[in-house]
Amino acid sequence: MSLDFTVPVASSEERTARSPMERLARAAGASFERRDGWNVAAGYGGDASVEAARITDTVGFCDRSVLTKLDIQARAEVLADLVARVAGGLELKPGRASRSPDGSTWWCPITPTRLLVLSEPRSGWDVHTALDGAASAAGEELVTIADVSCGLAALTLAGPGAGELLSRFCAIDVRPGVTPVAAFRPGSVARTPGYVLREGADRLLILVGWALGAYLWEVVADAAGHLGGGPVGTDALAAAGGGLSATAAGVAEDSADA
Amino acid sequence: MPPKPGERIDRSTSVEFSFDGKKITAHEGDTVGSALYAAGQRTFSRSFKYHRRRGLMCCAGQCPNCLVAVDGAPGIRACTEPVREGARVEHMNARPSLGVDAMAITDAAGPFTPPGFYYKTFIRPRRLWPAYEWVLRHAAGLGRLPREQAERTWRTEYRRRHADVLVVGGGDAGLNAAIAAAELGADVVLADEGAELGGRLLWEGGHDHARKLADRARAARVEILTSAPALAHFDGLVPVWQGDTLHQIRARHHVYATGAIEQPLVFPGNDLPGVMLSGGARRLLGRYGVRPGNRAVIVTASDRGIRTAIALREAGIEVPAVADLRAEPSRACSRLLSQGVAVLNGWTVVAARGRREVRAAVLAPVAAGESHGQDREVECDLVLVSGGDSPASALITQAGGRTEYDSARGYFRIAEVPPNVTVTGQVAGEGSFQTAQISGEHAGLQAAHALGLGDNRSRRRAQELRSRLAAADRGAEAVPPAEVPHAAGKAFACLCEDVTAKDIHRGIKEGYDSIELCKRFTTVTMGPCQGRMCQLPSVRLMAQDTGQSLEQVGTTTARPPWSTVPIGALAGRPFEPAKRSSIHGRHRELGATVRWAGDWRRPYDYGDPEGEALAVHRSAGLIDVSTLGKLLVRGPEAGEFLDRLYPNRHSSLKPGRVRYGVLTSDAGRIMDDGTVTRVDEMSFYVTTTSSGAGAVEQWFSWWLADWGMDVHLADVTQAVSAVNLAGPRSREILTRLTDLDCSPEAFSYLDARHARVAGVPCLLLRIGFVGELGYEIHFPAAYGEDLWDAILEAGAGEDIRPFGLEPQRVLRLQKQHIIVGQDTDSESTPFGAAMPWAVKLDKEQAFIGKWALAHAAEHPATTALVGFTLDNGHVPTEGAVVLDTLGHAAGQVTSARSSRQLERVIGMAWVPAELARAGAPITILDEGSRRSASVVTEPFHDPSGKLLRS
Repeated sequence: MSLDFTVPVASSEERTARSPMERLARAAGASFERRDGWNVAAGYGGDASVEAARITDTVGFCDRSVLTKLDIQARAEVLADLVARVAGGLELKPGRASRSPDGSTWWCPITPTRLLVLSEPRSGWDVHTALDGAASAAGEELVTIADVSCGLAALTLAGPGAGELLSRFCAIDVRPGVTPVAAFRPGSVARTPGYVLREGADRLLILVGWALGAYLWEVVADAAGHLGGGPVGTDALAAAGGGLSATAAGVAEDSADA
Repeated sequence: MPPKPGERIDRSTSVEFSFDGKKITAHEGDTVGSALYAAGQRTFSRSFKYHRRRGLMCCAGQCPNCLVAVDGAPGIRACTEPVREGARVEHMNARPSLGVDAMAITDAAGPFTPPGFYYKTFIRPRRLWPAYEWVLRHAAGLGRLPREQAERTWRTEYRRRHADVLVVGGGDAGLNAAIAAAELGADVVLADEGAELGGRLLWEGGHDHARKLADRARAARVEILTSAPALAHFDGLVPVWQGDTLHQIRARHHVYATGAIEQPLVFPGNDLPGVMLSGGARRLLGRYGVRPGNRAVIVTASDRGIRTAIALREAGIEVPAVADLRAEPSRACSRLLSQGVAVLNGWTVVAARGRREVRAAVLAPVAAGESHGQDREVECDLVLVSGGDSPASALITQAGGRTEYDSARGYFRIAEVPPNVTVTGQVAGEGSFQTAQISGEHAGLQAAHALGLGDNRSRRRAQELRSRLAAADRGAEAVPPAEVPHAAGKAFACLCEDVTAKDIHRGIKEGYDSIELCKRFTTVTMGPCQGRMCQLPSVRLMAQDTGQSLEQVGTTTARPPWSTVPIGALAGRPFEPAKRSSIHGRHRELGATVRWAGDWRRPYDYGDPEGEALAVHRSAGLIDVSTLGKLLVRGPEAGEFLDRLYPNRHSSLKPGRVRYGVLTSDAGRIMDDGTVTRVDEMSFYVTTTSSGAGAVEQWFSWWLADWGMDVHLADVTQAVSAVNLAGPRSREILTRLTDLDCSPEAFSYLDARHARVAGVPCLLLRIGFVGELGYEIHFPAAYGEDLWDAILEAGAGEDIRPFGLEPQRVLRLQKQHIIVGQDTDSESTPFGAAMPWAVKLDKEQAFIGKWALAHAAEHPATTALVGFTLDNGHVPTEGAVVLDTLGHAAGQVTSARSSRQLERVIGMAWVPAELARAGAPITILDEGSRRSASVVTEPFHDPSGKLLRS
């Protein structure tokens, strides 16, 4: 027996994995593509310049729930060794995420014995496989790698108004001096437990429980609308650069609305 | 008045609004109050209790005299509300009109409405109380909210702002503090309640200086919030209300430059329209170009009133007399004296005369006592008073600061502040033009230094400023008397609540002789001004009456909010985190009635709960059970860990098997229930009730931390969705979707299997809560809708139906499966709940609650949980009482439904233990009627479990 029943299988050809925000994104005008087994909101409204302007001038928010998320537990020394092997010598520091050299993965320490790994779906499979191998090499040490990709919904806030937008529903201090790039903060987000990761100067990734994904979208969309912002697709986010690269590497398997 | 530099109005514009239906023309920049005053309006409102005419007094949003309703919203201060084209302004608290108010009769009925009258009058005869109540309720209150509200678009924004330094108060001192801190690198927010920065600089000739300071602040990147009063100080959180936004500001250091509030004097007629604070007149004149009157008598305790006299004369307003409470003339008086103005040192006002407005002021020496011999009556249409200052210290005391009485200045000054608070400017006693700037800059440097910013140069500068402050001349002020006993007539200590000096005396006489008691009895300081105008006068009156010093009398506790704020602002944006399963959208499309179940939104039914329940019996039903708590427990000691937590054994479970578990507390009481599946040698998959998921996870985590076992926990409640496919046709339906061998031999009751269902990786559990053959299918949440659709499609030919919580409740009741928290309470043990099999007292592993359960096993409870039926078709209320044989309450009904399948009413109840036997008659007392029922000790449906195990 295994824990596969917790893992969205990208190779499934029959079924498409869907974000908890999909319906709301669709209602906001998203066009979808199937990428890496997920139904991804690639863009909104057909005019890329509108989305680009949100990211450069106000604020855009992008559903990133497709990210692979791994919850890793082990003794502190074992965890550090695991990361060092798999992530090319990265060090774990409390409150600070580390990005893998190829930029595809964030390693986010929650506690000294617990780590959250965030990755694009395609890179995520490789990371999971590498971690499994490293865990096996740990011998008798207990290492648990739980796939919580469907346990956390995610939104990226991008643009000069990202911090202002977050302030409408979250009291975490994200001023650059207090929360610099790569800072990782657990805390209350819109009155629910979550995390905030500063991916870039004007980019914040927020994560909350999957079942609260639709609620988070509603909160963010409402606040962003009041600030002149709006949703952006993964393509616009990738084009703007910074953070984890969007699934540009993922092939658009089906350009029709899945 | 001719245009003046620094005035706020734009005379080239015109704005029209209405006041009580009459069209008023104003300029951009005017307030409703200044525009109405310019149009000749002198009565703005009627007072709270006596319905006396009230006019503009402070023009700063501090007193209650100009409260109006604007576009239906009551309680707006006209003196600070900007004019708006088309606004509909109406008076409050007067009927039929402001000019003719029928309730003004209460002014003559004073003897019937002393303080606390509601404890003494309008009580007898008691039968008339409903009438008294109707009258009093309609007479009380200020303003009315419309019963019907039009669709409104106003929304409250909440904005959380962290800062290094928060400066409250944008006058000279506050601006200098903000600039000094920001220039040393601090992240500074400056909040001021005024529409424009500068404070009293704006109406006392310093508007250019104010503008330059504001520009410097912006250049230093200070975030400036205007029209933004700070409401409170809560443990470092300062809410600031601005327009439609509540800024929740958390700063590392707070600088309070909140200024001081000019104080009125207590004398008969002190509430007449035309009696104003000197600052009010200066604002009308300097900011809005409005002539406050033609002939003004000024009464002052400091140079402020002298400066006002000079300004009025420069504007062409006659000043026949100035009563200066100070015994000796100050230097500032010389200009007035040289102009022939009568400056009476050691004099004060003892009465204002007039009916609708002031017509004359009566002046007398302060020391005259009751002697009328030296009175001087001076004709005037304006009496401007300046009875000293009172530091606006409310926010500072809320922050933990302490005040003490300064007898030289006649007010309560700030004596002590917490380490992360600095005070500056008038609130700190540094209110002169000379000292405000120095004090402000010093405060800003101090704040920055406290945060580790600055350098030797800035520290030397701070030292230099401290020396200059110590050497500065602060001018002389007089301490006004509490009142000068003189003429008859109402002398108001509290304008908001219509509390007179006599009322205070009466309260003290009746024994309410502490300031807190006096406040509660008379309601002084409890009105819209929150003590701004009346705290100090009431303390003086109390000191005079009781013989105590003002220090001994003290002040009342300043409580938030300090400034008026709509309740809607405090309610804020409604964040109601709603958990929705990944299938939620599909439920809505299927017409489900969705309700709250804990913090989840769940489908209660799909329009036909009875039919849905029947479908489960006859063919198949599908229910979304994604809300179940789900925990992964993994490690070499995982089995032992679970054995310690549960009263039964789980370590003996083989991989691929499921066991039902009841979780008990230290006291052996049922906390939660669910299933435990052994996924592999090291991994267990635990389910809990939906509402208990969080508590169970915490329970597990707590004990794991305590025991330090080699076990990991992962909460996958939201990561994994689940559905229950149940009914006699469920096997056929499932078989169409999977390659798994679903035969009874290969997949028997309480087995767990891993398989793909409709292409989705799943963990299938052959368990049942609804009494029929069933499969609980667990899978990654991202496939919710797809898998749901696939199952319904596969079962379309079998008449499969989705079913919700309500039919599920009927189905589980038919099996007498408990719902923890509904059928059990904090005293229920597994023994009492007819689940003795869930407790293995003989297992080797000690477990939580073992001692208590062993005790419970030897001392059976006096009540037991049983099923029951009623034949008369009545469904008893859940919670209805079960009576013992003597007719006493001895238990209660926990669940009850009418079952269409069984064609009778069934339920569960706690009954006296001696009645917990099959067929025993019980009596249920429900809504006053007694109902007979019969005990049923085995499941109503499929008692042998044959269907479940098929």
